[in-house]
Amino acid sequence: MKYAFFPGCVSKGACPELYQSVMQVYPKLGIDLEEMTTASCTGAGVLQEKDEKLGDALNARTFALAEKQGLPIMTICSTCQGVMSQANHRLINDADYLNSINDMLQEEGLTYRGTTTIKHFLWILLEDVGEETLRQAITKPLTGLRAAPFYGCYIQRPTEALEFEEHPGRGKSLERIMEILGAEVVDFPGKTRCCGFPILTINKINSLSMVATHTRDAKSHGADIMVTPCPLCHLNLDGMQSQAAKQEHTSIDLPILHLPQLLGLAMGFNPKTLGLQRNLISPQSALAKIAIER
Amino acid sequence: MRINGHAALACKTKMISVASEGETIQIEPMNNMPVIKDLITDMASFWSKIRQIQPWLQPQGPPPTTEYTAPPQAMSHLNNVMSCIMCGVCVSDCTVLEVDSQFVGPAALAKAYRFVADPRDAATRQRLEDLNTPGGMWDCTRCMECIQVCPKGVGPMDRIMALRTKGMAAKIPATCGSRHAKVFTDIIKHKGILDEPMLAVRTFGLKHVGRLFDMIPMVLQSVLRGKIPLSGPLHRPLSSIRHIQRLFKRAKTKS
Repeated sequence: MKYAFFPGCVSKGACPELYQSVMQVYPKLGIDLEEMTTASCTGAGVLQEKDEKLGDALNARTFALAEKQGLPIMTICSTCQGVMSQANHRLINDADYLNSINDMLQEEGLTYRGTTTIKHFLWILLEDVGEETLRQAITKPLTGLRAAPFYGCYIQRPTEALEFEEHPGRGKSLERIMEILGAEVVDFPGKTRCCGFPILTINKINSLSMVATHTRDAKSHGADIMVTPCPLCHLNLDGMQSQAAKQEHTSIDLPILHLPQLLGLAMGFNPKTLGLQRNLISPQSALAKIAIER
Repeated sequence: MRINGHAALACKTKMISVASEGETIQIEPMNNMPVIKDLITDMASFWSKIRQIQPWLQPQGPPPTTEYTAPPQAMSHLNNVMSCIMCGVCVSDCTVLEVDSQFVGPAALAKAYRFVADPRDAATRQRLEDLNTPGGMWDCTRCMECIQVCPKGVGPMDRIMALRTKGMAAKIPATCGSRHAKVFTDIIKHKGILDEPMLAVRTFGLKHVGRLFDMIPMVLQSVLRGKIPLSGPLHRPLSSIRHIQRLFKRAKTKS
C-alpha cells in the first residue's frame, strides 16, 4: 500500500508532534509513503474565500502530481482532506471546468485526468490496512481508557464530496478505530461540531466558547482524553483550552491527542517518540490510567 | 424539527433513511430558538434577522413603467438561493448561533447574497458594509452544517463565502476576517505553504496588536514544549514556487 503523502502545513509547522507520530506508526502497518515535497497548501478553505478557482487549480496540481506518480494521496488533516475532496468533486463532475483548470496547469506540463483518490489516514486504517492488520499491530490495548472522538467539520461534511454513501463506515470511523485499539468510546453531541479554530482571529470569544463547550461536555460524559484526526482542531482544543476555561470561569484539563498518537500508544510506542510531551494539556493522568510512563 | 440530532423537514424525510433497521428515532424541536411547546419553536428571531438584511430589491433611478426586469442568464445563478423556503433548518444546526445569538445566521446571509448578486439591485456596497460588522458574514465558522442539512440546495455557507469574496473585491473596509484571507493567500503565493506565525502577525497588524499580545502565553507554552514553527526568512518557500506563482498569475489573468 503505497501513497503520495500530503502532510499539510500544520503538521510541518505548529503541530510537529502529528508528523512525528505518523512517521513512527505507518511503517508497522504495511504502509509505504512517498512525501509530496512540491505540493502547495490546499488553501484550507481560506484562500478559497478570495478565489475558489485558484484554490481548485492549486489542488488539481497536487492531484496531477500524484496521478503522475500513479499513487493515491494520503492526508493526515481533516481540513486538507475536506478541501481536497471538495475540489476533486467539483473537478471530476464538470468536464468543462476540469479543462479550464488543466489549461492553467499546462505550463508546468501537467494534466489532471480525474483519477486520483484522496484518503485521510483515518479512512486508510479501516479501508486499506484493515481491522485484522490493525489488531495484529496492537501490543498494548488501551483497555480502561475513556476516549471522546472529535472529527473536525471538513471530514464530516459535505458527505457527498467525502463519498460517505460509497463508504458508509466513514461517518463513525474514529469510534471504530478507538474500539479496535481497546479504548472505551465516550459519545457526546459535540463530536462532529466545529472546534472554533476558523474564527479564532475573527471572533475569539465565540471560538473559545466552542472549545470550552466541547471539551467540558466530553469530560462531563466521562472522557479521559479527546482524539482528533485534525491538527487545526488540535490547535484550538489543546492550545486554546486554558484560555477557553478562563473565559468560561471553569477548569477543564482534557488532554487532546492526535489520532496517530493514540494509535502509537496502542502499538507500544514510547509517548516521547510520539511527541506527547509537546501537547499543551498534559496527558499524564490518562497515560497513568493505561499504565504508560511518560 | 430535529431528527436524530439534525434538523430536517419531517415531511421530506423517509423512515428508511433514519431507521432502516427499525431503530428508535429521536425527534426534538429545532435548536437555536426558544421552544413554545412540544415541537413548536418561536421563530421570531429568525424573521427579525431576515428583516435585518432588508430582503427587498433596492434599485436606483426612476421606476420603470413595467416591472424591474433582468435577462434570465443574469439571474439563473440565483436559482438555488431563491429556492429557500425559510424553513429554519440551517439556523437550527448553525454552530455559531449555539454560542452567539447575535450572529445574523445562515438563512439571512444567504438571503442577503440573493440581493447582493442581483444585477438589478443598487445597494450592493451598503449591503456588504452592513454585513462587514460583528455578527455578520465574517463570523461564520465554515462548518458546513447548513450546507449538509438544507433541504432545498441553497448552500447557505457557499453564499456566505461568496459574500466574503464580493466584499474583498469591492474593497470594503478591512476586518480581521478579510485580512486573514488576504494574508493567507499572499503567503501561499510567496511560499507555497503556510507560515503560521506570519499569518497571525500580519492579520492582526498594529491595529490589533493587543490580540497578538493575548497569544503570548500560548506561544510561550508551545515554545517550551518544543513547538517552534519557523517563520520569516527561516521559513523557506517550496522548491516548486515558480510553478505555483504561475498559477496565481494565470488565475489573475483569467479573472
